[in-house]
Amino acid sequence: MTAKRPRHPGELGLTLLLVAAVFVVGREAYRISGFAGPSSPGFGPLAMVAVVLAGLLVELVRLALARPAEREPLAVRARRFAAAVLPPPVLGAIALLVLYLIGLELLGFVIASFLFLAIAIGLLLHERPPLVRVLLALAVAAGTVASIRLLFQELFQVLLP
Amino acid sequence: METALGYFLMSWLDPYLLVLVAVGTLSGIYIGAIPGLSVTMAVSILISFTYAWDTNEALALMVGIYMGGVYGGSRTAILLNIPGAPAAIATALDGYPLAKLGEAGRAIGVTTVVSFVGGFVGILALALAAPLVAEISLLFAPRDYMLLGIMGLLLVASLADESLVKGIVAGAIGILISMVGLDTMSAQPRLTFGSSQLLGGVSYVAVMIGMFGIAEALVQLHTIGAPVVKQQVDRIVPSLATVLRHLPLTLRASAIGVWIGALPGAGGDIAALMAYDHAKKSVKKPSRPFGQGAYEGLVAPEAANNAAVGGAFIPMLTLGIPGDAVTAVIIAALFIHGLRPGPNLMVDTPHLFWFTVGNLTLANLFMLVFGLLGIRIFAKIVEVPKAILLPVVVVLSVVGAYAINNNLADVWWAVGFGILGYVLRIYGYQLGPVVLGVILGPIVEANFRRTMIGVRESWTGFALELVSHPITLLLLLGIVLSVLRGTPLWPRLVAKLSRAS
Repeated sequence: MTAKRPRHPGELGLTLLLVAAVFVVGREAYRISGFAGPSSPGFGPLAMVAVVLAGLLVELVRLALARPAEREPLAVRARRFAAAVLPPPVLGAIALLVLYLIGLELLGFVIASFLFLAIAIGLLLHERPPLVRVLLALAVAAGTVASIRLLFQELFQVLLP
Repeated sequence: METALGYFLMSWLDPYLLVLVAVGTLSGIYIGAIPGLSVTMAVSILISFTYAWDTNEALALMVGIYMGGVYGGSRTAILLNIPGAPAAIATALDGYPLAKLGEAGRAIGVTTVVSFVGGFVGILALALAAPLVAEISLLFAPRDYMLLGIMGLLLVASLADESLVKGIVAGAIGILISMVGLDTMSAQPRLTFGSSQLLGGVSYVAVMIGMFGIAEALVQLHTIGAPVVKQQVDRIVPSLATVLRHLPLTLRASAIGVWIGALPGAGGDIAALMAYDHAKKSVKKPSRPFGQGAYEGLVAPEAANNAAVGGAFIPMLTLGIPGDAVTAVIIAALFIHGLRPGPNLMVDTPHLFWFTVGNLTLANLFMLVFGLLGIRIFAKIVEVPKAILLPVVVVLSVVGAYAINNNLADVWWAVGFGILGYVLRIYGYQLGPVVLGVILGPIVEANFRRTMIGVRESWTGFALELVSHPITLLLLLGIVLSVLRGTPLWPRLVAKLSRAS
């Protein structure tokens, strides 16, 4: 039944990566108390590593059975991977998110959040005319940061980064 | 009795708590109504804001969000054929055909009233059954808690979506995450890779905010260009005759909702689908054929999923076992506020139980009022473009993650789990099982180890423990039946038994 599902682009790579990660975690789990008794602190982690590994092996078998009859050229596969897993908006969002976190440490919440919101909204609203886009992005960013500051810091007494 | 009534009415009489329940319900309806923004996401992000609050205030808000969110999910199921929450999947089957027939307003009105009735039945069941269940659960031994935890983990099967194997892998990853840090029984570091920063473990809330807030926002970016659907709604308050005509089915569906919601490992989504199935089998003359806009197909799942809210609070408050992903998150919130959901919660803090029942009742009333009055405003709010909504969700997630310990490291964790969650989601690994693993893993592991210590690490002794105590045996049978129910053997077994009888 499981073999009927088609392979997602990059699924084999992810599964192999997870298997490698499981081995690293497994080694760390073994270091807790080796294969000591079932009430030892290392038993649970080792048991869960075994469950994840078994599941991933089943997945690997499924992926092997679901292998496409004809192997597509690398460029086509890369395009399909980009479209299905990392389309430009997602890739851009992840990069922007990392920059936002660095900005939080360097510039503080208000400036970093304003810049993040303005840039993200400006980029995502690409179908609107440029002037509307810029004005809307700036207005929403300013309004959101001000509301969060007022609502959470003043009213809920939550500390902001 | 008088004391219980006093706790029940606490939020009704305190203007601040009253406003919090109202705000929670309103936000729940709004968030539940936006495709892509789940109730689980809302509760996960909001938990972190309530750290500095009093427990009562935090609970008032969360209960409102949960009640409102389960109901709000039906809006988009009817209007756009996109269930706002898993519990509204069955609602779309007849709700969307009704919208296409131009009866969206009436459909939402009927949904609101039956959700109110269902919610009320669920709360009544909670008030009557929970004290009894808590009393019985005081007799539970560690092995029983272990089995209850396993029962909860079986929910993985219904949250797994496309592949059970992936669901199990996701659940086990969640359990592994919960094991990071100092072991609570031996104080030995586990899975810390020598880092002193990991000794305190990984924050539940950072995992939840990452997986349900940031990951969801990234997934939603795939459909960022999709046009916003304009929604049209007309008259919404249903006539008394309509309500009365559907009352018997509403009550039957509510009973199904309470029962399914109260089972550890089954939540509103399963309750709604079972109630829909019940309606199809029991209603001989529906208003229209099922699947083509039958009001009966709308009434049954909506009454059931709101009744399941009260039902889900029974195992949550009395046993500490969640019925679905949202109750798992609420359990985490209770832990954060220093409370231990389980039989002792009713003994140590009985006021909390009646306070929660009071909040649920209030939230149910607010749901009816906001549901019937605010529909036109909601229709507009739901039309806000995702290009604006998603960056705001990310900023709220960051603020929420920071509020856990006022530490930017938690924000990095949340973003890390967000990206991991996104990748897992894209490849069909659902995130509900991960969170379930994070919450239930420690319960199962600690009680398994206690049982093992009790039988001096003998597997035979362990097996004997499971079959030689009546309560344990009942729980074990429950698990075996639940597993069997998910296999192809079950229909054959049922057919054989019915032939034999």
